[in-house]
Parts: sequence; C-alpha cells; structure tokens
Amino acid sequence: MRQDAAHARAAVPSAPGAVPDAALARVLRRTLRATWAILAAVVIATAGLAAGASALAVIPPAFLLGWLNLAGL
Amino acid sequence: MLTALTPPGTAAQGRRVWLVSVTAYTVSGLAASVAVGAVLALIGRLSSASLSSSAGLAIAGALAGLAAARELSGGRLPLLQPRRMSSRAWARLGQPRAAILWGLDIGSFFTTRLTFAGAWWLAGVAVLSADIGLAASLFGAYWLGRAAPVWLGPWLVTSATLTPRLAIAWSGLEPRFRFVNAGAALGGTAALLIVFSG
Repeated sequence: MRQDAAHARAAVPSAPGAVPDAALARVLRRTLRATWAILAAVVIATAGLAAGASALAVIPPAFLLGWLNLAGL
Repeated sequence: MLTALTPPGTAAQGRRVWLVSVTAYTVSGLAASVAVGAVLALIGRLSSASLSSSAGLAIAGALAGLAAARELSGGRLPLLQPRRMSSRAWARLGQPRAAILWGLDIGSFFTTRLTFAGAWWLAGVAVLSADIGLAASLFGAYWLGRAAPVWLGPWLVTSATLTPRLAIAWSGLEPRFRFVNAGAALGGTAALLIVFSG
C-alpha cells in the first residue's frame, strides 16, 4: 500500500509539503469518522462476544486491524 | 492498489467496471486470506498449539505486547515483513484481471508489506487457535476490513483530482492508527483471556 504513496509522491513532487485543500480535508474527516464508527462497533461486538464466552470475540478486532492498513497506503 | 480501485481510479471505464473490479478484488482476496488462515491453524494443530492452555494465552499476550510496544513507539522496533509491494504494473492487464491479481497477492498476507505489527499478533492467534474454522474466519474478517475502504470509495473520495494525493493524505493518519492498532491487539487478547481462561 505504501507503494501508492510512493507513486503519488513521484507524480506530484510538491504534494508531501502541500497543505491539504478542503476536498482532501473532507476525505480525511470522513475516513476518521468511519474509523471511529468501526472502532465503536468493534468494541461493542468484542465485549458482547467475550461476555458470552465465544471464541468469535477475536473476529471484530481482526476486521479493525484490516481496516487500519488504509494508513499504510 | 486501493487508489486504482476507488471510483475516480476507474471512473473512465464506467461504474459497472468499478463494481466488477472491487467485487473481484474482495472475493479473490477473501479466498486467499481464508486459505492462509486455515493453513496457519493447520500448523497450530500439527504442533499441538492451544489457546485454552496457559502457555498459548501467554504467547498471544506476548505477541500483543510486542505489537503494542512497536506501534506505541512510533514503529521504532523493526517489523519482520516482506519489503515487497503488490505490482502496480498489473493495471496494464485491465480490469477485473488486475483486481483479481491484487486481491490474491495482498490477500495472501505474507507476500506483501504488513504495515502494522498487529498483523503478527493475528497470525499468532490463528496458529495458537489450531481451529481451522476460527482462523479462516479471523483472516476472512481481516481481509474484509482491508477491502472495506475500496467499497467506501464512492463516499470517501468524491473527486478524481484527489486520487494522486489520497495515499499521501491517508499516510498522515498513521500515528493515530498505530495507537488503534496497539489497542486492537491488546483488546483482542483481553477478549481471548476472558473466553479461554474463564
């Protein structure tokens, strides 16, 4: 995924230091909003499954770990 | 690969191509991930691993602790991982062929860069579980989380002009995501402790 960032930096040399514009800031806000919503759902699901002594309690954190790779693009 | 599969990345080819591509990416990656999870559980079964034993839980806890330490230190500790990235050149094959190859490659877990240390905790839990169904579900869930941003692409990325800078912008979230990654590994271990030591 970092490869995308490397390609993007090569294509847009000034981008790393550039101040994000409004559209880009909106993408970041939406990404964070989605992340916090997923985190909340994961916490609730994990707690519920663990309380029921289900081994499936480890599944929601796995989904979250997968989602977080977004930052490693 | 993700930026190539977001709607702006495939907009020129139409909405149907985007839908077929992300479906192909998700399904091929899911198949690869489920297979990897099953193989890890099989290894655990052959080595008589068990999450219900105190040793198994201790190892899972140690892996979570190491992963958390690595991420909370800002990634200063080295992470055992392949340096390889999935090939962007596959885009030349056209969609959905490229999407299928990206899914199979990234979904294979150990063939490309892992980004965060929590991935090793996940692999460890899959081995320790020695439960093929659980480990396959674990890796299936991991993959679905990894593919989810592609599906949310139409909502997250509304303009094609953003695509070149998207990866850079998202990489700016890394410090916060490291913290969440550590929490996910530690929280998952806490859940395992509750389930298997109770």
